[in-house]
Amino acid sequence: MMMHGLILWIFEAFVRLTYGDQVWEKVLTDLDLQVQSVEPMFHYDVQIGLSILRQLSIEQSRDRNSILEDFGTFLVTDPRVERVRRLLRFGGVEYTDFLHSLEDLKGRARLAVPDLTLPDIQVDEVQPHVFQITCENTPKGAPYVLLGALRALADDYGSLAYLEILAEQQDNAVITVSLLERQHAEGREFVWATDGAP
Amino acid sequence: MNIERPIPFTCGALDHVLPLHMIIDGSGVVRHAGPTIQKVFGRRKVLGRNVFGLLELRRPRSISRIEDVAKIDARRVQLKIRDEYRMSVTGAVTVMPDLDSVLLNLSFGYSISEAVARYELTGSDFAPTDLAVEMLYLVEAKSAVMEIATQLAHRLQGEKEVAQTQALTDGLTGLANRRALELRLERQFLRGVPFSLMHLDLDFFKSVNDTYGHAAGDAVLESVAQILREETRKEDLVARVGGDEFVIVLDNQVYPTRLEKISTRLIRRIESPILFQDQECRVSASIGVVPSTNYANPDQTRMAEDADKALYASKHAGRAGFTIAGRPDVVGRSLID
Repeated sequence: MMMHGLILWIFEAFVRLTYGDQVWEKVLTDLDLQVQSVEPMFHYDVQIGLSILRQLSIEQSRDRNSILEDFGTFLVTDPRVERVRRLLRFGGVEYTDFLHSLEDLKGRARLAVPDLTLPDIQVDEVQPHVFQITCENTPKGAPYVLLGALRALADDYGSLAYLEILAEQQDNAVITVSLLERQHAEGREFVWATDGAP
Repeated sequence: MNIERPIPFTCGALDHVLPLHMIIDGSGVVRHAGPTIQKVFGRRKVLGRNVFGLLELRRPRSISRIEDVAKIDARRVQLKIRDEYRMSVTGAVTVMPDLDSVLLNLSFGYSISEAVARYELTGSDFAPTDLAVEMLYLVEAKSAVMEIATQLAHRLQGEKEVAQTQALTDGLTGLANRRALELRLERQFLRGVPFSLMHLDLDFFKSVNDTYGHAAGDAVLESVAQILREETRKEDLVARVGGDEFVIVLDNQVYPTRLEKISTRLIRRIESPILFQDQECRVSASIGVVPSTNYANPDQTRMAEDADKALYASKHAGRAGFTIAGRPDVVGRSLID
């Protein structure tokens, strides 16, 4: 199975910016990989991504899922990858709209980068303010990235929510989101205008 | 259903489905406007104003009175917002005869990114069916991908330059290699600027290698390379073309007296002892030079051969010397030091 270079490329940015260049370089050297950095427009074997993750978790003595969750948080909160947050925030004006828009994530991503395949996501409001997010066709660990991103986005929207992974199987997972308060805090400013606009 | 059949509709319903619409009465006055229209005109009054004071019709241009709108058969009108940004908008118009009014619905089209920035619009200012949000999303994604592509192009360019430099450089000394010399000579002949070709061969280099080892030999080559670099100008080219053989292209330098001076200085500097791990390594150099002005039609092969001959003349004359090849019409009178 192959994965898009964009994903591994931004994971490289996460590792370099969070743990430092030496850590990234050491992980790649220890794995004896020929590459020193990822090409965003290439495709890589999923096994390369998984072995980088495994090595990083040994290197940092942290479990893989919590690294992936941090990666998800990084995608939303780090100003150096602001674009990812922006693309997600275009999903909805409020956190609940945003949660529903996750069903469009795959289609939207494909609109921008035709060969980028994201998981199939289904969002159900199982009872008032409780959402069940079912991810299918996900590589192992990917739901933890989503968990980290969704937690960070709740803050970003100023909502108070409790999130956890309900069930995880080989290629699918269910995340539950209990929305405790829609407008708990101010939230982070989101300007709809793109930088590129005159 | 008969498409002419009137149906009851509230302004609120229209606001929801078409947040960028206006209802204009028979005298051209705006009677109702959707919420996003209100936002676009900010503090300016919209209701009760003449529509031509708010919007400028660009296409079709012939219409200046609302009565003429009925005559428009185009389904699409192009307008500009009358404010300091003069932004283009696309409109769809339809006459509502029962109400003696015109319904105008607007869309930002390609101005969407600019409009969102100028009027501080958000996703909820657009109809759910409006592709505005998808458009903004695409603009954002496109910018991100463009950034990545631009970075990639710069990195590739940098790597290409490094690779090119490496392909034309002698790894040990950092001087030009034979390939770089060939390219330079091709260009030199095309440019037609007079120049001299100097062949330089180290003397006693083999004995340094044999006595002190290859590391010492390499150190000698590196320091000779340094001397050659220092004694030539930036417009000259110094190439290492073999173990201890060098070729120098001296641009715009053909006077025998100058060439003699350069050769003498090179030999003198190369002869000064080179220290390697407390060992004094001594070498010298034999030189053969040929100026391009020796020939009516300078030719690369011929010049190289003559430079070689001059070099061997120096070797035969007892090494550590130089020979400036004379004009072919004065064969035999080589200017041996």
